[in-house]
Amino acid sequence: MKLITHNILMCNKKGCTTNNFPLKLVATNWKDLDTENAQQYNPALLQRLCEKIEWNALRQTVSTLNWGVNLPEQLSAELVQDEAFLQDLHLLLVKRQIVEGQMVCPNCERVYEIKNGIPNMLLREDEV
Amino acid sequence: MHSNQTQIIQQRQSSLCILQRLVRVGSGVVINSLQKLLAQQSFNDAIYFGIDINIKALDVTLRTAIQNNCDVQVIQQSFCHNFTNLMKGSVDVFIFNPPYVVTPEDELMKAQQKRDIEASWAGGKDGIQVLMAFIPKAYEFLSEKGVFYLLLIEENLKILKRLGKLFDIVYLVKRECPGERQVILRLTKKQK
Ligand SMILES: [Zn+2]
Repeated sequence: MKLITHNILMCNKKGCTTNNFPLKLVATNWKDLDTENAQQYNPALLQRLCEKIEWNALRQTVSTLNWGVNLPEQLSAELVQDEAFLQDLHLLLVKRQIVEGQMVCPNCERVYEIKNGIPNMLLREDEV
Repeated sequence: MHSNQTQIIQQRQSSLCILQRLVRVGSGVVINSLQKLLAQQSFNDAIYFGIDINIKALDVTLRTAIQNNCDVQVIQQSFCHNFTNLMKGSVDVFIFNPPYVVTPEDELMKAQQKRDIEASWAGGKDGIQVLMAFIPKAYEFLSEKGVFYLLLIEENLKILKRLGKLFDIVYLVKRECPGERQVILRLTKKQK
């Protein structure tokens, strides 16, 4: 699972409608795809993603992961032209895969497991 | 499918693509169809999400993607239930392979609850019950110029009336497979 996936997922448990995003991410095992397997560095795609992404959620999540990457508070027109910044984003959004971990709802504390790189967002019958 | 489809998608500057339900009974994994749909290089032009409720379907998709040097983000979820509002109007390409086989309604319920591989084909009355529930979602999440590909069989075409209210429809492919006639529809949002 990539951070871009985390950035589009919220808790959907019955009754949980506020403060259900972003999910608290715990990454117990992660790896970077090597250049052969990862999508190539594509500045145009990253710039388009910047328009769609929930920036604060990404920035906060990255700051809790201790990956040694710090994202700026605000996105700006200059920033999305900056090569070093886009390379950071490429690493964070495209190359890095969370293999094992959890996502926890900040509101109801429902835990969504990530196993073999696959997040399980399915709810039990009594949760829908 | 044809290479001019690739051009259409590229012109539309896709960044988020979603494949809904990944395994197609009899003809394998939907990602294979997608690979034919898109030229290899355009895999670098978008992020691909693959969604299914069945973990086996997701595993197969991941393995197939790696073999084909594609990168697909798989999520085990039902419809788009866990997508944030931010995703609304943001999906540039939607590919949905609904469970389309005509089955009794209770069989559909059982298949969905068990989240077993049967859920990948049991479609209830006219084979369109799951699809009916999904259409408003697809419309909501699709971007204004987004493209929605729908893989069906002829028995499902009662759905056209419903689809026609929201989308412009193009028949892309009709092909005979053993036991069924498959149809691929290309849908775009009706311009208001
Ligand atoms: Zn919650």
